[in-house]
Amino acid sequence: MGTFNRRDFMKLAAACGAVGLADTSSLMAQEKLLKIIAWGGSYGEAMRANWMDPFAAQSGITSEIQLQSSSMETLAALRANKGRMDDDLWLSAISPATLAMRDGLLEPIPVDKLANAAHLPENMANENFVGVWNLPYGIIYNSETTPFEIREWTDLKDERLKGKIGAPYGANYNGLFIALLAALAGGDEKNVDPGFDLAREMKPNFSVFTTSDAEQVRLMSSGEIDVIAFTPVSNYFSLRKAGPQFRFVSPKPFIPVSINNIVMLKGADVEAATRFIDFAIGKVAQEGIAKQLGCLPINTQAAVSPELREAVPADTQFRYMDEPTISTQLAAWNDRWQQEIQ
Amino acid sequence: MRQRLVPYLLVVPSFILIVTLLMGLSSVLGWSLDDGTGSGATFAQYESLVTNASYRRFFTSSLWLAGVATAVALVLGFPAAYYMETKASPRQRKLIFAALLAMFLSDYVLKMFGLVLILGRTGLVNKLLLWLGVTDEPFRLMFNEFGVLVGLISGILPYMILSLNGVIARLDKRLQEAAALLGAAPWQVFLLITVPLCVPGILAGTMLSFLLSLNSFVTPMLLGGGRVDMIAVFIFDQSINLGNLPLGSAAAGILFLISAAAILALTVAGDRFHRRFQR
Repeated sequence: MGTFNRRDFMKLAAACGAVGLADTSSLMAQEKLLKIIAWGGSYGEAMRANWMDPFAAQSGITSEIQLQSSSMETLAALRANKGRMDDDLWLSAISPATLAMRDGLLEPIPVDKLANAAHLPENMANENFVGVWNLPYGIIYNSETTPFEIREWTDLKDERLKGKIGAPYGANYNGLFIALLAALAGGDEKNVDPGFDLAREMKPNFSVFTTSDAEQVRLMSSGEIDVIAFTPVSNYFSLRKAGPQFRFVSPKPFIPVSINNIVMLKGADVEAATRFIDFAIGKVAQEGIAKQLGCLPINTQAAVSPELREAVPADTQFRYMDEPTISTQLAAWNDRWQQEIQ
Repeated sequence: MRQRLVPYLLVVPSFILIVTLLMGLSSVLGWSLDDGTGSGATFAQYESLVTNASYRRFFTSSLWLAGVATAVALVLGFPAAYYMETKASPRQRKLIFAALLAMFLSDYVLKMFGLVLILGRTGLVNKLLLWLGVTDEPFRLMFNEFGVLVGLISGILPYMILSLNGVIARLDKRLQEAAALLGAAPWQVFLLITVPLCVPGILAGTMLSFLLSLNSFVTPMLLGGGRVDMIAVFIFDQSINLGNLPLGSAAAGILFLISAAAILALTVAGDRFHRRFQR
């Protein structure tokens, strides 16, 4: 039996150390955790089911959601805690993401490493943001309590709807309703005066100004209001569970569509975050999340669910609002809306 | 030596809490002076709040609603507290106290949601009015100032009654009896003896109720429907929805100053009254 000298002991220790290190590094790879700031509720559920769980199974990279109630709220937190947050990714609307980019809160996304970016529409993937879904907006009404069938945006002026409509609170939906009214009345994002004139005509019909999707659904299902003037189609799928009397209209002449996007935050784990984004914009993940959320997939190869096609017919005209321009004027619009309309 | 340290050690948690609160407050103050470059300070946000009429409206509306809610709570709360201490049987007193405690300790958001179910278009009140044939169309009892006032009053009423109750329980009844024996009518006894003796409780209840109403956020959010301007909603809107932390912080700073001024005014009024009454 040989002796176990000091040199052998050192070799053994080194070998143990190497094995231990190898084991730890594989463990670290397994325990890599992406922190994603995102909305909860149906959005969170859909993300977990279609993105996070399948991505973890495929890559071994787990992820968790840090809840936000609105992306503007997250922007405020990011600004207040600049450099002190440890999140990797952020699901946001265009306007807050644009403001965050200006404030230097974002990490550039290596778009060349996103294989699925080739299937996205033009300008939907760049170093600042990558689009993840399209959210069409329309009108929801209760067919049992609304005196006529709503077909157009201008029906919201009809005096038979007096005190029956819930409209968005000034800056809610990042000012898209105000921009829509401006476009309908012959203005645009840089000239919203005609939109405010149109809103004044609708004002007697507005009984409440809502601040969130959940509030819209609650007020509608409790019978507090009969019409929601402006709402993402996803709210229709929530309301439809409460009864068949709720109808979604894609009004003429066009409906606004907003793009929700994913951005990479300063200090993110770029490699893991890039892999996650690429997975999220893939065909299968897009079809799954679009079906569950009731939104349009951003990946052009992904099919639109029949349920959404029923609510938003194929011949619907879409309008992409100039959200970066809106974001620079949102505060002024909000003040004016509160003063003149609310 | 160890025994002498005990009181200081007991104070440490409170001290940490106070320092944390002051740090938060100073951080808000810092944001309110932010000039956007991160290097200088400016009073531009305060100036904008004072000079812009639409911003001023949030303060005046909040002060008005808080004042009305406090006055109504006092008018409703005084008889309730007086009845509880002077007329109610011990069993009734226990029941009223338990009800007040339940209101006091239950979650504020839950209470306001309860009111939504009562005041809503399809709520209890409207159902009753429609059933009685008082109206053909439901009344709009919320999403206006009336709804917010009902919410504020129901929120502060327990504070008002419990503040008054403590003072009324300690009233020297011999003074009221002496006044009555000397020929004072019941209303004179009430106005000239009972009410002055209750002033400390009235001031304490008024201070609590006014400050709670003034700073209220949940009530205008749930019962105001975006149509009632209150300053806490403005602060939230600017800081969170619009990402304008400096303006939101400046509004919070002014609200803090108004609250401090109200506390000071009521404390001074209480001291003056106390000195005058002792003479």
